[in-house]
Amino acid sequence: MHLSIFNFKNIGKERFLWIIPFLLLFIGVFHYCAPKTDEKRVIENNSFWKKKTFDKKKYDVVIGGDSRVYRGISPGAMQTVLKGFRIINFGYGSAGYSDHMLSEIDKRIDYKSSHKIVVLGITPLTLTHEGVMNYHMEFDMKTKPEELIEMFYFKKVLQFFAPFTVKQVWDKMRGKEFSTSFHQEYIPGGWVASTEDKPWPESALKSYSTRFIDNQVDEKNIQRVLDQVKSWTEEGVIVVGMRPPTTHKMVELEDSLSGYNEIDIKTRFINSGGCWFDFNIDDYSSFDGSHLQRESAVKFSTDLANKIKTNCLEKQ
Amino acid sequence: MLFNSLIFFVFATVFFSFFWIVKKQKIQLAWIYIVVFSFIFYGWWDWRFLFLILGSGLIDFFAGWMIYKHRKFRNPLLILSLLANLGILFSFKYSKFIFSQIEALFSYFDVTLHLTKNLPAFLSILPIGISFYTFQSMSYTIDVYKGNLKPTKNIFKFFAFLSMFPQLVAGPIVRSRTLLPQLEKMRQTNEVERWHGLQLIAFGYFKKVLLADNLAPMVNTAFADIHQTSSTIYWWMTMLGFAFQIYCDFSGYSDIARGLAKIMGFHFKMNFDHPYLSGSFKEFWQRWHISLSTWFRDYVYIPLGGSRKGKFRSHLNMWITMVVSGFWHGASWNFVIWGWLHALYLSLERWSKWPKRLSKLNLKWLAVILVMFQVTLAWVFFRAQTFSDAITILKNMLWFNTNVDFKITDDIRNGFYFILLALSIEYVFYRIKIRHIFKNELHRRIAEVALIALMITITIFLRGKGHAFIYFQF
Repeated sequence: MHLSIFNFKNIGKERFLWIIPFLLLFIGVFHYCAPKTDEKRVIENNSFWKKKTFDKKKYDVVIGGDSRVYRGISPGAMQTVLKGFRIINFGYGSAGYSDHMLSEIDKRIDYKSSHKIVVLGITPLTLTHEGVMNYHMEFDMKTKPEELIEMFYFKKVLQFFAPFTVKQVWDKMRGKEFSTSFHQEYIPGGWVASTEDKPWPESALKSYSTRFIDNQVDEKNIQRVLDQVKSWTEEGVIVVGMRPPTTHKMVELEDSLSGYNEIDIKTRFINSGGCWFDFNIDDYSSFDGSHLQRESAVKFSTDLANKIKTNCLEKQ
Repeated sequence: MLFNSLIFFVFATVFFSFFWIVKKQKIQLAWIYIVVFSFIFYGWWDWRFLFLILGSGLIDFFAGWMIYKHRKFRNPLLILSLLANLGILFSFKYSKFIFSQIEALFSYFDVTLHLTKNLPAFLSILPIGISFYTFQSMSYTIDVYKGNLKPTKNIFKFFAFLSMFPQLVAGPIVRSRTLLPQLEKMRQTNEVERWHGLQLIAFGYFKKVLLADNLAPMVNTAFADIHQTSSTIYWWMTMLGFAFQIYCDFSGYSDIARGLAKIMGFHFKMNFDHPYLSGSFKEFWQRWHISLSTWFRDYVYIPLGGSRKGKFRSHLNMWITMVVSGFWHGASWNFVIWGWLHALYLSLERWSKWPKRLSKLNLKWLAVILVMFQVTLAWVFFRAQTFSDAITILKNMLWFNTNVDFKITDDIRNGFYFILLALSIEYVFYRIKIRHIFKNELHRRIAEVALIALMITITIFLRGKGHAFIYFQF
């Protein structure tokens, strides 16, 4: 075989191919020397949400809610109690129970399963006008096909070639690389395990103090949830409602500003055929005054699964 | 489909993997192959608008044949074809603007019209690249009409010319006279052509993904709120950033298109030739968006009489051409003013001959700076959302102040590095030829390969956030 490509004298004829070893060399060096950035996490984050949104599988347990749900409930931890159950955390940032959201939850229920369960995390925000706009989910729903292909099949390639800036190179040279005290792990099944090394349990209160201005809990939104609960229970689905645990200060703030009446909602929820679980806030810790730390999320998920097992499944 | 998307790499890999084989088969198969892939490329954005290319193309394909066969009726046939093409362009690109102007005019006489409200919803979407393929299609009929071209009998060959994916959505506008003869026979490319193709593609991505996309955040932040600062230095830096952003964005696209075509075995003429090194406006327009400038020269300026009918008519024809060229870019008065400003610059240059005078004094470098200065001022109208925004920015730039009341963000710092890099490339990189550094042929070639590999690596790792190409909207 005549390997002219490996003959430097013939390089003039083979430049198109000779670029490959040079490229591999340079890419290897650049990848090895690249400064640490947040870019890989951003790609992971994108891929996680696209997969959650466009996952068409059916599940035994579908969990809906906002960021307190997607950060606070680990399907994996629940499966240690509910062995063999297929569980999806379908929580989204600032989500609310619109018709679209409820129908997306419904699409994921396996109606052939002998134990069909829907868990709804009902925070005040999920029942407000802003919540039911579902900006996060709707944004992901509009993802272009090429981005989906990138996120489904080329995530690792994109992460390998994660870009950086001149400033980040300069910072690395000065020993000031990117670092963060907030860590998020994107777990298949829909949970974002969140850990803050320096928890600040009141940081979220400020933003929540203005969130309910012209954005109160709406009776229409409550009724929509209750109608759906009724419809699901009629079809043999166990529907669980709960207010995901947060901090006492947050509960106080939400109750005073949002128009959320937990006792009333709980009563009506039960009357519609669902079951409602209460949790002791003091058992869990939050990193920002709203969301649970990773360890607390695991404990909460286990507690939730135990309550489902004891109160719903064993009674069946 | 965007050149700067991962899906395009998949698309291009599939296309070229089989193109070598297809090229060796019957020529018809190669044309069909090009058309199918080009339609996938365009339809990826919105398949419904494929019918526009089909419609526009079919009109000109049949008009071309009819004109050729029935010379007696060539005038009405040409008019019909032009009306159909311009009608499509007008409907999608200009109807909303024109109707809103009519509404505004009637409102002066207290007459309320609801023309824009009643426009069909689909007309509010501007099909990507409509101005490019419409002009390309029109040039075919005009060339047949003038007797400069024999129309093709094969519809696949025609659509391979019209829709060839490298240049479909943002040019260069390739003339039928240039491309149709190249489609006669599918040439096997040689190594030099493939290497030059790869070089062009690498340069193109370098300009677009590294330079333009890294300049975009700085420019976009400035234009998101033009009242954030009145600092002269800030606005000059922003506009210099935009001048290089649009140049690198568009010339980058053209380079990638030319490179892809070269690897396919086709030759597209150069579309940008370092326009910011121009020592006069005449030279600038010979170096900037050459395929469009020559299109307007051949199909508007010369038919109007060009410079054959005296000085006044020559100026008038040039003004008409420049204003139409401005309007081609978009349905807004700002684009018209941009074209008008360039016409003014050209007229003043013809009248005063200032570039020649400076050259005689060995001050060509000053002429280059003065052209760049005026081009940058004109870009304000091109980029600003409204006329009043443009005036505010121009005031900030021209009424010199020493304000530095703006926050130096990472975007600005990053933008500054890339302006410096772009300037260095324009003024230094292209003037230092590798062949002057390396006397030995082998060393030169190795250095060339290594340099392109390094350029690709830098582009990959220092790329800016992916943006669509600016000229897609035209």
